[in-house]
Amino acid sequence: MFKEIVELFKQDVWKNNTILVQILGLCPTLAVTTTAVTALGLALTTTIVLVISNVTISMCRRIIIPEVRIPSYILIISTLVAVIEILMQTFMFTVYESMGIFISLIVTNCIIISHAEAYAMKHTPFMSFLDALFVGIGYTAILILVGSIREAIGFGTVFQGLNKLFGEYFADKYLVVLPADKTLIFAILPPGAFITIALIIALRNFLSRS
Amino acid sequence: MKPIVKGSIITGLYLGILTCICMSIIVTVHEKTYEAYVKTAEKERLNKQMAQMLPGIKYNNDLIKSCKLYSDEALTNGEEYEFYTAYKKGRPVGYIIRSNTMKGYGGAIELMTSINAKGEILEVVIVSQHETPGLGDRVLPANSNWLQEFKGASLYNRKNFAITKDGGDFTYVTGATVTPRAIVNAEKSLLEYFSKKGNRMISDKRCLTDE
Repeated sequence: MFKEIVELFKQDVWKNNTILVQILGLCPTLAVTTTAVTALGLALTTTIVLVISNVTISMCRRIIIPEVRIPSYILIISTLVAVIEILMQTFMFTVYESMGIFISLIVTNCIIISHAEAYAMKHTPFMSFLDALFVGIGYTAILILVGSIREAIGFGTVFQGLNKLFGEYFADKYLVVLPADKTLIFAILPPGAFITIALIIALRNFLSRS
Repeated sequence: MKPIVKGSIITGLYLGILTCICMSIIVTVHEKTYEAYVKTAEKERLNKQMAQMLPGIKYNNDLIKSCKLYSDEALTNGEEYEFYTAYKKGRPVGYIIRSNTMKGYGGAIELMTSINAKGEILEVVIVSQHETPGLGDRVLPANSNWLQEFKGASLYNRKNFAITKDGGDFTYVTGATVTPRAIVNAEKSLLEYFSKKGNRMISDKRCLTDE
């Protein structure tokens, strides 16, 4: 059992990392990683949706009729996203504003539906929970990495605006890596996202070559 | 009944029930949080607006936290007005007052007025109103720049702080006198109070929304 969990962790975080290996869910990854904090915000939201949807679908896996399982997933996932969107609008308005439409787009994030289909439908709620958590960890790590690199090159800071997520205590807790006049706006623009992710994928392939 | 028909009916029913369950979850969450959401969104909007209401004035305190409640039998009619003060080095340099008047054609008009230390109006913003579309609501910035007439107005540079029909120099739209009159008179009484009381309008009563 323990071995199984460790293997699952390795699979989800490194060997089959959703972004670096499966190249899934790239749309939000490219769009919201302009700063480390928005990347973290979206990654956390996606992880929460992923965990809840995986557990819910795994619990319902015996009552979901196989022929209409995909519509069922979509119904369950979109309900979750709608609820989370309403809650964020109410209690974390600044975060909600900065992520805008990408919260609703989590519904179409193929990471979530692929794990519902490929994992949650065939495993116990507990294992599905772990699977979702590990995928979330891998996803969050890459998103923060991409966001940090782009923010560092584009704005010269890392993790500026943490207070939007975690309260006023973090208002000035960020790193300055580049002086403001040495930044490269290119990193913030869409091509910067593609190049950053491509470089990270290349690095991963280099590290895992046999 | 053919098995395929039966299967379709069961599947259809199943999807229908699932949809109903999902919808009722969303509706419940929406209803439970709607009030709180309106409050935060509204607050956020006002905060943004307030930041733009003191053009040219430099201050170094948090406007939102300076909120005090002011009430006076004659001016506020028993209600409590929110009174924000901008300070620079401990001296008040600008004020924003949220007031309302009941004299609008459609009832209450909520206003937000910023005043500088000299007692001149900087900006007037209509927060909410229920005036007749096409007539009374001509005063809104979306329909005309009537509110611009208040810029720089004070009791000293307007000999008669009223609309032209009442002998002043604020214009109005023919057929819709009530709304401009209500707003101009509300601003006038606000300014009169302000020139009489000045900083004494800053009470000790903190706003409830403050944490």
